[in-house]
Amino acid sequence: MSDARTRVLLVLAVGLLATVLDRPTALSALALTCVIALLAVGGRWSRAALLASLGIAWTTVVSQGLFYGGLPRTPLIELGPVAVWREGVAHGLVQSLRFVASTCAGAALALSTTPDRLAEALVRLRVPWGASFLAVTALRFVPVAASEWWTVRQARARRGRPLLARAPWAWLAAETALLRPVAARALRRASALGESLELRGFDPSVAPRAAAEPWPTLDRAVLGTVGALVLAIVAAEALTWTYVHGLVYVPALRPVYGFVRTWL
Amino acid sequence: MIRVEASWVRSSDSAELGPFRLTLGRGERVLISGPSGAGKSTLLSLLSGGLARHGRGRVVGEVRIDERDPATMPPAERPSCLGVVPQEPGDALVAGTVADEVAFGPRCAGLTELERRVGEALERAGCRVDRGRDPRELSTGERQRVVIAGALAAGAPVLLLDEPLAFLDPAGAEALLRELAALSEVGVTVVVAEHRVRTVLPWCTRHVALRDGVVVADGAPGASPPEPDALPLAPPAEEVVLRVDGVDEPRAPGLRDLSVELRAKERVAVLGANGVGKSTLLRALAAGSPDRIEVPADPDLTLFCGTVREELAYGPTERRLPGAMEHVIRVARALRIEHLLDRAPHASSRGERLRIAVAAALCTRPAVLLLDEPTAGQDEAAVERLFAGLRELVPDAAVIFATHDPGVARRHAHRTIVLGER
Repeated sequence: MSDARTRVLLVLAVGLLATVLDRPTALSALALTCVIALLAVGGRWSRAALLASLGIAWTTVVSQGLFYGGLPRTPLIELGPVAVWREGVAHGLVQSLRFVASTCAGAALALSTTPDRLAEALVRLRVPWGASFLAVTALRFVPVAASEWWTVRQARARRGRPLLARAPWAWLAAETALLRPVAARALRRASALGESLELRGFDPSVAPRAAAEPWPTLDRAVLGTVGALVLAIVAAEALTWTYVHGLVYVPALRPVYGFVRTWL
Repeated sequence: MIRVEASWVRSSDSAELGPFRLTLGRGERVLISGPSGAGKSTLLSLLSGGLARHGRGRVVGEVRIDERDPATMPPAERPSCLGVVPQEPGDALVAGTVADEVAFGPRCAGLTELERRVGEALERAGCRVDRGRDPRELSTGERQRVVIAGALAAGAPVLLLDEPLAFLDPAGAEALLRELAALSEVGVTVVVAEHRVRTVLPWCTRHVALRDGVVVADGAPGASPPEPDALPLAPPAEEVVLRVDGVDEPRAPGLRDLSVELRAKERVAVLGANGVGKSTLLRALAAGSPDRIEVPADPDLTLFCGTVREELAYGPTERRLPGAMEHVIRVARALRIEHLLDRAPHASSRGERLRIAVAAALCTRPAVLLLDEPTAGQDEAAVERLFAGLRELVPDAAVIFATHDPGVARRHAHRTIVLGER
């Protein structure tokens, strides 16, 4: 999608779907689509974002499987006193698929769109200029902070022992200490940046004039299709919710209730 | 015209100024000099109105630029009223491309003909980089030129520049001063706070000297102070402690199949224009052996401990060097940071942070010490003290440093490596 507005709206659609969908199959399809989009962007940051989100997803599934406290629960694997609960794994899977879909979609947007284009798109989508600029500036400094963290790590490695030559708790303490210079640098930069913006006439209440840009036809077509699909899913979920909670029951909608409970 | 009358000024980092009265006329070229901590940056912040805004400081007195208070001026009018170049050029960048960065101020001010303004400002600042590049990817000197171009682009009648030459090569510094002189000819008031007094004195029409927050001299520029005496260097040993062949970096025009050899006790200066590859060369030389310690141009990212004492002790403790704590005290004393030992490294001033980073490197007793721009933003006395400390503390180590100051290279190096486009 060539227009940044399209990408922003697609990410919003993914966020909405990740919230309303409940079935692992549907969430898997959504997460897979977002993973493919992220991989299509390419670059080491996209791989890092993917690995990080998959790592967190895996940890969520395992921890929910082990520590699920709800009842009833069925053991999936039993190793002496330790059990992995089927319901816990399913719950963890749903939560982590939501996380993977949202994170990968957001990362794909951030990595495929320059901050200036993103700020412009947000303003065109009627997001207040101050909020757009703030969000985009924060985003711009994520790779800077990551690269600084890496520099600090290298500086420390030059002066000390290798990381693996430490006890796990010492390693953890050393890793945490790395955040100190990165945070100090970020604070110093934030102050300098704020002053620079102020002196250069930045006013959060006045958006800079941007030339009108036509929305490409292909983008409009994709957005129309995705929008219709999301609306249909949200409507079906809402109708099923009213039925499940005993508010409204329409016999003609039984196929819809069935579809939602099986697939969505 | 700028008029300042202040009986007392205090910035958020506790720097104090005053009492003083200063009136700067149209077209004046003013040099503000003074040792680190004298109040140069605080004075510029006062002139720009920054100190009086958002509780960044307290001002008892008033500042007027053409009878208007810069602190209460509407944001959109500021870029057309005054241009400011801050001390840390990298931190002031707000846009994703060089062109957008330079156009930011004029765009906020609602000015037109942005493309022409950007082109002219880049030309005046001597910035010849691709306009589509991300300014964060540029070298420190190139970033500084971009920030200067951003300050020039809105055509403000007053320019305030905080150490604009700190990261510029001599040719770049001369060219920038020529451009600033040309601007003053058409009525722009240019105020430069700078440590490189010898370079700026012939350029300025007025010299304001500060000490401990008070104006100690104000008038026509006098003669340049003499260069400090060069103390004789101990001759290099025969033992080669570093040899690197085939240093090649496509993005650094000065690095094409370069070979470097360093001997014990040898002092080598690396000179060259901005962006030619000095920092890249130092990084390449530092790689591969724990006996080579590099202090980068931004020393903040090498300081990760809770106190300066822990910072200095980290290397020797990790390496289990004998007599670590005694050595820490000795190094701290030599570099005059003994009073900071129990403070957090990041709570210190920029010059102090550099000395802490160098001290931390020295405490590991490296065979090769690599310093990237150790003179940038430092007053001459601090630079001389730093090199005196190196002579005393690591007499046997090879030291290689990148600098833009040929005088420092002459006084403190056996030989120089000059990088140029190849």
